Amino acid sequence: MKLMAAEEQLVHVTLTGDRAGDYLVIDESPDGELTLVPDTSIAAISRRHNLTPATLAEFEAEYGPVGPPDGEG
Amino acid sequence: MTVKPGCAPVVFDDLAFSEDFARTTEHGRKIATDTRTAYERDGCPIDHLLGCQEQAADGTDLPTCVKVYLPAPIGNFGMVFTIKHQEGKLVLVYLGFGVRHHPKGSHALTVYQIAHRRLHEITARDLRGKDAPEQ
Repeated sequence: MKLMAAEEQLVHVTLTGDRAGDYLVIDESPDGELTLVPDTSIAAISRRHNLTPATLAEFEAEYGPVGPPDGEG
Repeated sequence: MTVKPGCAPVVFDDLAFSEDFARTTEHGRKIATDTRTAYERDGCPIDHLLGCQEQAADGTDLPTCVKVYLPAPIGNFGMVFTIKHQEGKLVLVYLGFGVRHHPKGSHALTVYQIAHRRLHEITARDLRGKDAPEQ
């Protein structure tokens, strides 16, 4: 089984006000009503927490080796 | 955040955690909550971590990711993390929680599929779906 990319281009929006943050538009009705869900992609998570890229090698150099992959996932 | 020796700091994103929390069972919610509480207090024990598979047999691809089985060491649930820098420090970043394997015939997502979708930014509608009953 191969996971497929989303069939459609999702629209990203940023809310400000009483409810703030990154959201995705997952539905838009003919009258313009939008259905939003929180954006939990790693890009959005990285923006929310000021994260920048790192490697497993860097991590292991600092904290020690992790166990090898066991073939499960 | 101060972590215990032999542990790494973990960053939990509330939105991602809440999404997974809503999807899992009551048993899963207790494990997820207890794990988050412990990791935010002490960090994640390095000796619990396993590397994730790139191009795994289930179609997931989780480079630069590590996982723990919950309850440790070989529980039916898992938590996947990616690795990032935050304020110059290396941290584990929560990428997903859920069951490791679903019962045959279930179409719900495993923890690997949840993490894969977040990592590859495939935020499809079915990420919002409820799990099938878990073991």
